[in-house]
Amino acid sequence: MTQPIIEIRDLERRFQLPRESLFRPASTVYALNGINLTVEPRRSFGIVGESGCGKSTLARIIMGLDKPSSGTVKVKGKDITAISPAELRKMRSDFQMVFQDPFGSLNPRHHVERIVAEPLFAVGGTESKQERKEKVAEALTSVGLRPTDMEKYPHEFSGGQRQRVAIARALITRPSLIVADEPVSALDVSVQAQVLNLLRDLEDQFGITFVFISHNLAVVDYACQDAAVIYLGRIVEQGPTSQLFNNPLHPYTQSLVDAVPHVGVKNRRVARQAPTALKTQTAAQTGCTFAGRCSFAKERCRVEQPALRDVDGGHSVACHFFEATRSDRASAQTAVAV
Amino acid sequence: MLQVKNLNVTLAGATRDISIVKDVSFELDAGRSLGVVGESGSGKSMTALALMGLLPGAIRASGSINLAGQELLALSEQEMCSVRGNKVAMIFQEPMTSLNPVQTIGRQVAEPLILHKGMTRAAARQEAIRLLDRVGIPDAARRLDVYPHQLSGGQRQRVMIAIALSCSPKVLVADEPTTALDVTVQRQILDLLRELVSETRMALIIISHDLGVIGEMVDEMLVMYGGNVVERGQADKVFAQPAHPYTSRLLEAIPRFGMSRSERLKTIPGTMPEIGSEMKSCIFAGRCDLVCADCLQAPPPFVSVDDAHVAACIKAGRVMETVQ
Ligand SMILES: Nc1ncnc2c1ncn2[C@@H]1O[C@H](COP(=O)(O)OP(=O)(O)OP(=O)(O)O)[C@@H](O)[C@H]1O
Ligand SMILES: Nc1ncnc2c1ncn2[C@@H]1O[C@H](COP(=O)(O)OP(=O)(O)O)[C@@H](O)[C@H]1O
Ligand code: SF4
Ligand code: SF4
Ligand SMILES: [Mg+2]
Ligand SMILES: [Mg+2]
Repeated sequence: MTQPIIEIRDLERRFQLPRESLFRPASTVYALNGINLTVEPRRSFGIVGESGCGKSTLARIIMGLDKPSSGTVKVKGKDITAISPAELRKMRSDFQMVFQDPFGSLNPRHHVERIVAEPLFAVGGTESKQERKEKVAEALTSVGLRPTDMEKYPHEFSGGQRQRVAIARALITRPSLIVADEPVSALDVSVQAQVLNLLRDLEDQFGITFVFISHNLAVVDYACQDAAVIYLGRIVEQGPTSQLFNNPLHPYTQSLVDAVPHVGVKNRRVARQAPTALKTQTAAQTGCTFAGRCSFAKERCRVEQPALRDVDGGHSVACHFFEATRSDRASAQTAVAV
Repeated sequence: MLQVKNLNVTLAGATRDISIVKDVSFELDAGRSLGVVGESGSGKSMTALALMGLLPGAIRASGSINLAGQELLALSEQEMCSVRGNKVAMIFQEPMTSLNPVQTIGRQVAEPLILHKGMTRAAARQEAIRLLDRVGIPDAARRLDVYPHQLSGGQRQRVMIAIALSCSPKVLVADEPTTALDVTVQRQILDLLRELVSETRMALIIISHDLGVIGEMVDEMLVMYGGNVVERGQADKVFAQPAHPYTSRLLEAIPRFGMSRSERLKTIPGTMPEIGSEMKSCIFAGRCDLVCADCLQAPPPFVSVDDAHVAACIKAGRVMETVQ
């Protein structure tokens, strides 16, 4: 058995909100609740869910940019919540992050050489100026930019090129893990395709494993081998993407898959009404977090929190009645088909 | 009902005029919907703003926009203002920037009713409740007094739609109405827009760079590239048999559910020519894998491939054959 690249156990992250008044208890946001997940090397892992469900918080914790309230986060076998900042800095060269916004995440006043080399300084690299330049040139080349581009400033690039610069920056320390938070969401489809192909090449060439956060299910389906669906800070379903999106078992995953607009499915009546907008969870809850939006909810769902359990060789779901939802969906789909 | 002919949008420059949108033409009947797709900077929003008479600064529209017999481009700013209140309405990508943050949503929905329909304050309030209820704001009567920041992104977009509906527009222009929203909320807004079109018989123009949204929402579509319409036709025909190489490449670039991981996504090498560049050849020639000497002689005229399905390409309609 190879060692997992990420291993997260019983992770919780709570945020304390400011008191509304002196006499009321401060309220707490449960951003992440009992997260367990394992990312295997060279199996890119997708994280999907609606806005505010905790995706970015999870990414920041994996990167050591935020601390969990409880639980362990092991990256390559080391618990990053328990190591010293100096040790964390040293590990940094092995895992990097790419942010959503290719405009906001690049300093407009720095030229590309400085931007791309930044992680080398951050890990306290000792290379000479010349060596640094060579590394920048190499990183730029591997994302399909020219070495001469290092003299330019971010505004001289298109959106897709800026995202390439951001990826080059993440690559420069030759990491084995890159956490990418919505890396293609701000891009047009033609540019999105270029960036997705690039990530695929880097995976093949350098053996990089990606943790890929996105609200676009088709993108995650294409870019990742495994994925987890998060609802209100909990993983509700997890497994190989081929199973997760072909045969979604959790009612929430089903509504996400059904909500994706498809070319040529005009005037399709969606079998299931998509649930209403999400609130953040500000109280510890008994029962299933999805019960309020779930058309299958029964008495048991309101009192007993469903545990995430493996139902089909690595495909796991947290729902008491997933078998009922599965057959209901099958009959709804035949009804739509006729 | 709406006829747009040779609509041009031009920025008056110091040395020369820069053409932002070139010769856009289409027709749209009541109760029908038109989609506009294209990559960012292709001129989608400028076309929409021209229809609304809302072009910024030194940007001007020419050509003809005829709405139910009235030539909109001939109207004074004051006359256009009344058309905007009564006949055409628009919703934008980010509702937060177009809603007034310091006014209650009740007031923002009621305002145009008082202004343009001459309703009393009390009647406008009642109508505002009905509209907010219609667009799916729960408990509308009690929410009249909340401010935009107290609503979710999807609810804010619903309020924008309620404001747009308040004047019973003949045409509703929606510029990227769901781009900032989650898939499940996007689904609700798209369903709502569709219901409203069939209920009120208004015409809908929906702009998006998401081909999935366009593909399932609209009857007709325009594909824009570098300020030009490169293809126009019935949406299901354009999707089933794209006639312009650009449309065809765009469709191939989308990852599809269940696509094999070993399959590479198709890309379109190169970039869109800068807006306003004088074109002596086909505007797509620099990126087209079917390019030949004839393409470089002059911008290609529209070639008809089917009933009302046209493409600005000398090889229009042979795109599929040539690729295969
Ligand atoms: N520093 C903080 N203080 C208080 N609450 C926070 C903080 N950071 C995040 N949260 C809350 O934690 C929850 C998860 O936030 P997070 O940013 O992880 O969402 P997300 O899934 O990345 O959403 P999006 O898709 O919009 O980026 C949200 O309810 C958010 O409001
Ligand atoms: N206020 C403005 N002044 C000058 N040029 C503009 C202005 N707004 C947009 N443009 C230019 O017009 C072109 C089309 O823009 P737009 O219609 O917004 O594109 P999109 O298809 O992304 O909606 C772009 O090249 C853009 O840079
Ligand atoms: S446990 Fe119950 S409420 Fe939760 S998703 Fe399953 S059926 Fe729905
Ligand atoms: S006219 Fe020529 S260059 Fe232009 S799209 Fe058609 S084949 Fe390509
Ligand atoms: Mg986020
Ligand atoms: Mg736009």
